[in-house]
Amino acid sequence: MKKASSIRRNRIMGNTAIYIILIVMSIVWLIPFVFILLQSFRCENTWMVGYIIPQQWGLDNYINLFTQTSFLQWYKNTLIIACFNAVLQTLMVMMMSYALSRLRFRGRKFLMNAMLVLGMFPGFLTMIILYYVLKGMGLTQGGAVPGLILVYFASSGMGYYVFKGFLDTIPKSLDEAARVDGATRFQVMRKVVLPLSKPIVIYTVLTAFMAPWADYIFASYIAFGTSSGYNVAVGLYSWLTKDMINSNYTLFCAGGVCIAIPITILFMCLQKYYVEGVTGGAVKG
Amino acid sequence: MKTNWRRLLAVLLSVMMLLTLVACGDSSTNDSSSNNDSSDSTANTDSDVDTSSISITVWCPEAAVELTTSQLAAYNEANGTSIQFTVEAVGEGEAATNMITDVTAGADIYFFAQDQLARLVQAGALTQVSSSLADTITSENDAGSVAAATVSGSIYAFPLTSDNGYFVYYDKSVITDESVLEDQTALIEAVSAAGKTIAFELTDNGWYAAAYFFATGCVSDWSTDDDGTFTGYTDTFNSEAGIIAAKGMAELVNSSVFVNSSSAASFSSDAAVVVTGTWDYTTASEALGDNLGCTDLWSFTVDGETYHLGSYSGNKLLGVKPQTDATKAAYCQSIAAYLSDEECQQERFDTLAWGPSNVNVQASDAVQENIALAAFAAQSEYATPQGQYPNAWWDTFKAIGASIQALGTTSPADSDLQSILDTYTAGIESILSSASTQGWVIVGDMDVSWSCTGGENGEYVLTENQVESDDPYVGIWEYDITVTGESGFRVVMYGAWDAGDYDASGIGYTHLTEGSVGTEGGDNNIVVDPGSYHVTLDTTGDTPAITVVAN
Repeated sequence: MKKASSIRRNRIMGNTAIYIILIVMSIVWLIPFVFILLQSFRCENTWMVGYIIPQQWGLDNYINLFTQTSFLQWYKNTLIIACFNAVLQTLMVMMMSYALSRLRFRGRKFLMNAMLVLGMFPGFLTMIILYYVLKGMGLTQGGAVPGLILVYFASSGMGYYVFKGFLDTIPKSLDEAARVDGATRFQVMRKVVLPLSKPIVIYTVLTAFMAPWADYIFASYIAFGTSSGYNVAVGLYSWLTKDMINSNYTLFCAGGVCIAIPITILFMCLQKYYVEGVTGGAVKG
Repeated sequence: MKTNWRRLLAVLLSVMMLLTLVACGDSSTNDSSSNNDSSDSTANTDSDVDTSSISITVWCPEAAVELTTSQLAAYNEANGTSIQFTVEAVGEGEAATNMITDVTAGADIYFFAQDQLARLVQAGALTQVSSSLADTITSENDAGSVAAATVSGSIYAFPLTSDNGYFVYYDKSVITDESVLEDQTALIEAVSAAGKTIAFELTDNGWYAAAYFFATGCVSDWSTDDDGTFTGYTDTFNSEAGIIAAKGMAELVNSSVFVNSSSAASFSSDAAVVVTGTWDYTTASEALGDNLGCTDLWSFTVDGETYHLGSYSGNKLLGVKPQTDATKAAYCQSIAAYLSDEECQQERFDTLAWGPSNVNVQASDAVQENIALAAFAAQSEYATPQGQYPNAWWDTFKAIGASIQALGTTSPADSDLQSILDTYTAGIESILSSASTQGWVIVGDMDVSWSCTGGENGEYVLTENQVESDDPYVGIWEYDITVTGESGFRVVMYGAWDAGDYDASGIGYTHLTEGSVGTEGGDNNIVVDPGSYHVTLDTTGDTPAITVVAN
């Protein structure tokens, strides 16, 4: 009896300590988000202040953001890039992974090794040459949006590792069964493999959709001083100069919140697929 | 099925090829049209050329986009032209970086801060202003702004403002007795008594920290050649005056009222005094309303001597990119001249409160009554026009403020401050040695290793005094050295093992010895007892001479 209660007491104490640590960590992690959210509703002035809770609440920042600044243009640019990227990149990665996982062809190993080696070079190494190639095609400055879509999706095939790893776990016997029943390769992919790989497709869509929102280096290089070609990251960063920041700080926070909205919505809609169980036991005996 | 896919692929590929061709076609038509322009028209902007085919891109800070657009429309109207203008919001700092990245894709006319001038000239991103316009610029703008637009005697840009400097904004409700704004000690006491703070960005920004060093008469002047490459410097920050400056800075940065900030937003959080510039006027007046006061910087006292804080004064400039098309080039010059003239500067002052560089606008009543510009003008008496510095200098210098703060005391020991300044000196020496391969170096049995080639070994690079000469080896050079061994030292040309190893300069001395030039094969080894010495090399006369004086 005595022993049991001491075990129980130990467990309670252990749990309390763990919960305290977790609570502190989650507060630390959440503060920046809460901070930005609160600042975006602050209306008494537009610069940075030493307190968190606004003295005057309102939607002025959001209204100004969309009516007084070019933010809407930047937002549209990024949204277009993100949507195209989400579709094109997913298709690209999917085809790549399917081919490398299911088909056996000459040079397959070499191709995979070559891409592994190429992938070791940071993407930024190619930035200058890519800039001149895109400039020659008229896809910089005002044409930055198609230019960026091209850059993002053209190189995306190399990120096939996770997807291929997933496809490798789907038993080949399923393919073979379908083939025996007379399905073509494409039908196998579309009707058998794809439905089983929903979680990884969703994962690829999400990462492909999110990347353009945070890209600064490539986007600023390609837009190159042309406001109409900026994405949100480049546009918002241009407000951080010494003569702009004090008049645009709360707008900047509102902009940050707006960026989070589409990503959050997409996440919420796709979450149930995202966490859905993997394909255990898909093979019929 | 298989064939279908092949067909689709073929169609896709051909579409892509077509697209590429279309893209190429676009740019080639542009090229040919601009070529036609240059061949069938002269560079005269008054002639009746069709100007609608000329498109000019202008980069200006976001705040000025609207005004600049309307000013350019007014230009078209007044001159009967129909030039296509594109005005893009690109900040003054970013503009220079962008221009250097790709000059051909950059704007034709752009606003930039004067400290970028050397980089832009070096990158070939600026056209020299024609001599007739240069005369107009010189006569209509204040001398500081003209100097700021000049590289090696030639004007490369059009001055737009003379307002890029800092001064004091203060809260009148806290600082009721304005006499405390004259003296650092009194100011710290008054602010501390009110439980407020003083915001001055000293610990991570050399632009502000230089105020203390300029107060005691220190200088750091960097010279460039015609291409904008840094060739030499005169720097007296590491000196007795520098120690005094560091003491003055220590009194503030290690006091309880110090906040490292240069934003007028600090008024919303406890600050009673903020050191910043005209760009923060709107923020400051919104934050404080009628309680806003502006004045020049204060003085500090060390060992009974009083020093008034200095500052940088700078300008916004308007640059024109070199053009291949002569007609467009002439229009660009004419537009830049228009945008920087009296009328446009007046409008920019009226709507954006940018302080004019044009002397007539400066004299106008409205400008005289602006309290921020009045404070800027009051401070300009103590200000140093901002010259050209290598970027690495700012990084080296800004560390001084943080190092002084790290001492943690308002009255640090001289030796501590000396070691901070020594670190600074070592830092700027490596800038020069990586930036230039000219001048004189001392090598020898000293506290740094024998080397004459690179900065990383820390040899002593002689500092040139202000002697005007085209020859990089002619001048009065000096340095304080510490000799540690018995084998002495030598003065050699930079990058050579000896004074005579290097004939390319055409100076023709073979060896140097103490007191005079040595003869060929003579001894350029000066042996002295270990200790510290002040070495001077004078190459201005017919017989260059070295003088060594024990410190």
